[in-house]
Amino acid sequence: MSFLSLKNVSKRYGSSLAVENFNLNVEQGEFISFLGPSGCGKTTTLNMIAGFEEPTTGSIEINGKDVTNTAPNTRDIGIVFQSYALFPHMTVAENVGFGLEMRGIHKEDRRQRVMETLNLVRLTQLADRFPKSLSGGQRQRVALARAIVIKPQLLLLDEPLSALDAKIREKMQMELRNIQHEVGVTTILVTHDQAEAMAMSDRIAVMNFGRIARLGAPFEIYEKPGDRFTSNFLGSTNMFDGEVSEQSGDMVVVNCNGVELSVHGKGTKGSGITVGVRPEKIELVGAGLGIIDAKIKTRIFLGTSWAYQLESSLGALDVTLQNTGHEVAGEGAVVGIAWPSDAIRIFAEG
Amino acid sequence: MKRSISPYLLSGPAVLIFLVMLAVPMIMTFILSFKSFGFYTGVTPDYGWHNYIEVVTDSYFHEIFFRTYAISAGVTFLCALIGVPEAYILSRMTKAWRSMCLLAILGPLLISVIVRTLGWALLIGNSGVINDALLLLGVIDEPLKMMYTTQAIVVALVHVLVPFMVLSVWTTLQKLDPQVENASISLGASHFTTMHRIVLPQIMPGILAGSLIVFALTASAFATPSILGGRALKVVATTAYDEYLNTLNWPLGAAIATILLIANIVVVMSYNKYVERKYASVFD
Repeated sequence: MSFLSLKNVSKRYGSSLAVENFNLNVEQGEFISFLGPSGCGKTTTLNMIAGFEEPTTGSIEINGKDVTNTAPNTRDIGIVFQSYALFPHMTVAENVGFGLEMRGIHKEDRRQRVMETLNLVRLTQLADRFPKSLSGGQRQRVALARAIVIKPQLLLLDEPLSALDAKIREKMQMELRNIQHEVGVTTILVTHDQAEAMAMSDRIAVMNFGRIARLGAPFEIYEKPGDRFTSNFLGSTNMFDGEVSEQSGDMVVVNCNGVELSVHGKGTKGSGITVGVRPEKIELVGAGLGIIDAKIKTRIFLGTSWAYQLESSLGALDVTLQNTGHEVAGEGAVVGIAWPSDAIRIFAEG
Repeated sequence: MKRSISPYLLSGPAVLIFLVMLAVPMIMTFILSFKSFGFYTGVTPDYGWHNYIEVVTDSYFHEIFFRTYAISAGVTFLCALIGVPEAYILSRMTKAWRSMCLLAILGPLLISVIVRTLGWALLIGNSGVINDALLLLGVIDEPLKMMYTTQAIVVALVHVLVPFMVLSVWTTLQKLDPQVENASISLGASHFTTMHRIVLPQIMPGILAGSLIVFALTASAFATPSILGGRALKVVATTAYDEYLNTLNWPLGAAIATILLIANIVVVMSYNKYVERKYASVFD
């Protein structure tokens, strides 16, 4: 029996289907992310779990109780909103204490729990300030404190870090993850940022067109994305369209624009097929030593890595190399490219 | 550094209009209010505080000032009571409905004050539409007295001044983060508590600004109290008018007008101070 389960949930707005046959089981204490581009239905799904929207069909259960049609203020869910939605006319402590007050908790107990939670998010000294005098990161932590102080059975995070700049965002990812572990609350994160989803989640549900395209642990779905959409949404992938020219054992030989590539998997001879390899799995070797030769079109230094764009008979190729402290081949040079045999994969359409 | 005169030239016409149309008449009214008046002598330049002393000590004027400010307070309260929910509902509407409803709300402002007020007279007069209908239906035996009552003045003023409240509140509602209400509800608050604890405090500056406009406009309203209040139910503005044009006691009329202006300024300024102090810590 899962802690949270969504069964065949669909949401229709007029003639358009925002969420279609959404099925998901979340275990107690799990951190799960809904990852997808805008308009993929991830926020709608979150709103249905929160109770702000009713599913057109299907049911939602939390802790064995059907909550599909219950009011949002009875669901006992903590939510961190994208805009934080702090109450501007209340101090930090009043903001955090609001949920406890609504639960009729006595003033002294309230004060104590508010201070405990503010301590957890390291904001104790700002308890009497108003939200407008806080920085983005501090507001974010107030919003988190306000959501977890009520000890909700479920914590929903709606793009909680998108308004922060890159450095603070990375710090907050760690912090959020640590706090979630400490509190142990079942958490759902909605995000369009794949790095954020991968850094924080136990499992990721990659969503597209109102459906789950891929569900699994971050490492698993990054390495085995399964379809074209997932593989391009999680990192990027060099895709080659070709035709199966031979099947031998567990390998197929794919003819892509005249280049023969060996790939693990199965295919019917003569059928169209798409294979792909991630930029960081490609190695640059001497000309003539690799699978094919390619010409370096552009080379960009990014600090921790080099980003290359190559031209080859397979088409344009993106390659990422770790910066090891040595100067590497420059623009205009011809190099060979190679990859480990298990780095190239077959993709289903989608 | 050479100073440009173009800013002065550009603001010149506006300053000129302001001086000629507003400052000069006001100063002249102010000076006039210190002059004397006799039935046989007319206005004489015997300067003194006697007009002010008359207004301040005569209970006849006390009653008029009290009525004016009671009406102003009542109209302001009713405008807030009607205008706030109206603005809230308006902000939740789809665009097409909103522009239609906005037009309906602003409607009274588009009609000339005389036509609008006489419209009310047609509606609530002794042989007006309402009384005729009620008599015909047998609900009442004789016409209800609605014309020449304070209630009539209040209702008609609320009708025309509500748009100011709606627009003022609506402006602050648009600054409200729509997720704030969901945040409150997710924390276990009911819709009523959310309204009262979260939404209302945040739109308070808009309500207070709207109240200020409504209060000032009511306190200095002339046409509506004059037509619907008649001769007996005087407010300050109609009293000043009567002193000028019926009694021909211009200095006394000028003194009443001056006191009304000063009283309004004092009310508006202290109200504004209060609002700024109360909400400065919370809002940008």
